[in-house]
Amino acid sequence: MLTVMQSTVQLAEGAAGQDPDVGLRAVAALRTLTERLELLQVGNARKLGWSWQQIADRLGVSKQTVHRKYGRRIGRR
Amino acid sequence: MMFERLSADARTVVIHAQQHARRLGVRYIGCDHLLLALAATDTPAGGVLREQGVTPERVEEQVVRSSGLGAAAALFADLDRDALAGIGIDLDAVRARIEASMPLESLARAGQAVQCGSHRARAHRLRLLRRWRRRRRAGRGLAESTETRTTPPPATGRYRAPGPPPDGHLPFTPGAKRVLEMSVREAAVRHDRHLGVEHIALSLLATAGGPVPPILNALATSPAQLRAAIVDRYRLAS
Repeated sequence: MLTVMQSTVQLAEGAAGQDPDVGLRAVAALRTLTERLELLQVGNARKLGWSWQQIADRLGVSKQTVHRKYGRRIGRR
Repeated sequence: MMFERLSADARTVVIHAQQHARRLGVRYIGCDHLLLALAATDTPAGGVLREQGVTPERVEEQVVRSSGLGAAAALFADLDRDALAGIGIDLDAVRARIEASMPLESLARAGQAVQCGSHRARAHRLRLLRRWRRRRRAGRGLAESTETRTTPPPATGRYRAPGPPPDGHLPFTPGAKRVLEMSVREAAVRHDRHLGVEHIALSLLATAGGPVPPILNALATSPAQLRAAIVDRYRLAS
C-alpha cells in the first residue's frame, strides 16, 4: 500500500501526461490494482473478525456498499 | 470435445500443462503452462524449442518471475505491469510486500475470488460442469476421457507453490483455449490428418498477445523465429 501512496506524484505525472494512451492505460491498471488490494484487505479484515461497518468506515463508504460488493465473494467468516 | 482429436503426444502436453499449473498454484491453464509443457516434450517441436534456448527450466523461471508463485499470482498476474511502471509503481515490489505481510490463507482466498469473480471464468466453469454432467449421463466421466486413458509420467519442475495444489479440472484461460482451437487450423493448413504437438506449438507461437511473447523475448528469441524453425524441422521430416 505504501508504494501506491509514495508514488502519488509520479502518478499525477503519468495520469496527467500528454499521451492519452499512456495516461489512460496507467489509470486503468491502477484502478485494477486498487480493486485487487481492496478485495484482499476486506477479505483479511473479515477473517480477523471485523464488522462490515468497521471496514466501511476505513474505506469511506457505507456498510451496505461494502457488503453488497464483497458479501457474496468473500462469504461468511 | 477438442481433446478427443489430439494425438497421444499432444494429449500429454495438455495434461502436463495442467500439472504445471497446479504445481505453480494457479487455478487455470494458461499459454505459459502450455509453453512449459511443450518445451519439455520429447518431440521434434520440443527439440527445436530447446535448441533455441527455450528449455523447460528457463521457461519456468520466467513464468514464476512474471506471474509469481501460488495464490498472489492470481491477484496480480493480469495487471498491466508496464503501464504501472510508467507511473512509478513497481508491481513486483507491491507483490513482494503483500506476500510478506499477508497471511497465506487471505492471499489464497482473494486470489480465488479474483478468478471466480470474473464473469468469463464463471461462465466457463458452468459450461465445463454441464459438459461433465452430459458425459456422466452418457456413461463416461470427463476424468476417464482425459487422464486415465493414457498415463504419461507426471510433469516436473523446480518450483512448487506453498499450500495444497488446486484440485479438480482446471479451466483453460481464453487465450490457451484459443491456442488449442487454432491448432486445428494449423493442421488443416499443412494438410495433416493428425493433430499433434507441432500444431499446438505453431498455434501458440502465432498468438500475438498473452504471456508467451514476453517470455520468449526474455529468452532472447521470438515467436516468429521459433515458428520458422519448427516449420523447417517438420518439412524436412516429412
